[in-house]
Amino acid sequence: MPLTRFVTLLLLSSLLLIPLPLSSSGNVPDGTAPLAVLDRIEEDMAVVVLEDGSYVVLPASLLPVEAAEGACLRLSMAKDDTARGSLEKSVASDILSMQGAPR
Amino acid sequence: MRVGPYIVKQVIYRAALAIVAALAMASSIAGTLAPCAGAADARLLEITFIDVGQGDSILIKSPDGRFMLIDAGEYKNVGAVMGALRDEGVARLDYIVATHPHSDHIGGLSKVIESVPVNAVYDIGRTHTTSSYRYYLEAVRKSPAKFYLARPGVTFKLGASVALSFLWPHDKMPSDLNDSSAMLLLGYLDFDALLPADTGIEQELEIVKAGRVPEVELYKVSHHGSRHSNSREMLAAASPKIAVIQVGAGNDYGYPQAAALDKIKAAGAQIFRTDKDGTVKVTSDGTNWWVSTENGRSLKGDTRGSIGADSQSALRTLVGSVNSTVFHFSGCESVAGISKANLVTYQDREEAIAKGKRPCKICNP
Repeated sequence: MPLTRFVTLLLLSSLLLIPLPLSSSGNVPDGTAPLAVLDRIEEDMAVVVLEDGSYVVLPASLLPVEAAEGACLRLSMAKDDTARGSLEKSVASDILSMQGAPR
Repeated sequence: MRVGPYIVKQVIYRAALAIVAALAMASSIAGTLAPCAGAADARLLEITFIDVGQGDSILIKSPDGRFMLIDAGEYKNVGAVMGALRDEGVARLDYIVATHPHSDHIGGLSKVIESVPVNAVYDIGRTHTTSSYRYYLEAVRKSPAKFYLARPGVTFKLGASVALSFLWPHDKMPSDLNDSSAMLLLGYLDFDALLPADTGIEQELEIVKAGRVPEVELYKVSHHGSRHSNSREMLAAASPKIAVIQVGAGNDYGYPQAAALDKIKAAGAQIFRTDKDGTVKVTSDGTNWWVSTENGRSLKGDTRGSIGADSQSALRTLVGSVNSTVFHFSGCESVAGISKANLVTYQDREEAIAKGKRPCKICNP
């Protein structure tokens, strides 16, 4: 069988089998966010490969429900100014309470 | 000022000395990973476990100078693979084996295939959706390399004398990609090596039960020393003398895991690991074998099962750290973590105990 036909068949069959967990879990994937793919799970860590071939390692608990090897993921981050305000207040309070205290 | 014949002769003499010294130094550097004395014959099988951090890459050179590569680690560490190919003078790879599509195995293959002519690629035929896998597949598609499926019963020869055969996977593969990875058996005269990639215990048991695992000299530890691989049954059947773990220092997954290390030690194999030993090279003339590492460890033995006397005694020298109350055999796993500056040697057990040290519970010196 010629290589191109073999590879095409493999890719077509895999497209039928690979779930898209973001869609199936009810979220609408944002097509503008960077695409990443779950390469594998090692122990409790997920290895997620980005489009440039680099990868990030994250706790597997952060993965969408039912994400399995090969799952396509859209990466996005949101800035939370409220959380930052709370944390800054908390650490400022801590450092003040330490002033002059026995170490 | 006129330059006399004496001065000319002196200049030529000193230049010649400098060239000889430079050649000697170059030869000494090149010989860092060469087999021990006694293996000077160039017609050796060479198996190089390249230090690619957390991942696998194995370069094999047949005694008649043909090359094959099993995996190429992560893309970010492919420089180590390209360096090894350059150091060995690889102008062409007869075969590449892509054991399975995880990025720590095939990530660097696209770069290798784009850089070096390749005759044929063996692949398990399982697809993946990662960019690393797609780049690998694209590189194969663009290259003139033939593309074959790795299946039990498929055999091929590297050069005239090195026989390779696949023991795994079947057409009906497990859902897990690691468990579907290709396992190779290599034979050169009386020297055998078992090279699983990341297969798990369930697959190992099936292969052992089918009677397909012979006794071997060299075992590539499966899945970077995972506790979910390297079963007692597999190790008992293979009964290796040398076990090489390809693993990255301080990796995120805790490899190699104690449960796997304990089983490998109990099977009687000497462990070499790329995170501590650097690149590990195993050579054989078909009867004798030698191990040498980038960081200076060595071992030798023969296919009848005896470990070389000098290397064996060297591994049983008693050592310890100035910062610890424990002493070990120098071949003990724990010694690799002691820096040379802190390493102390004891003449015998009595001397170590007299100096307040207690024996290591692992190597029991």
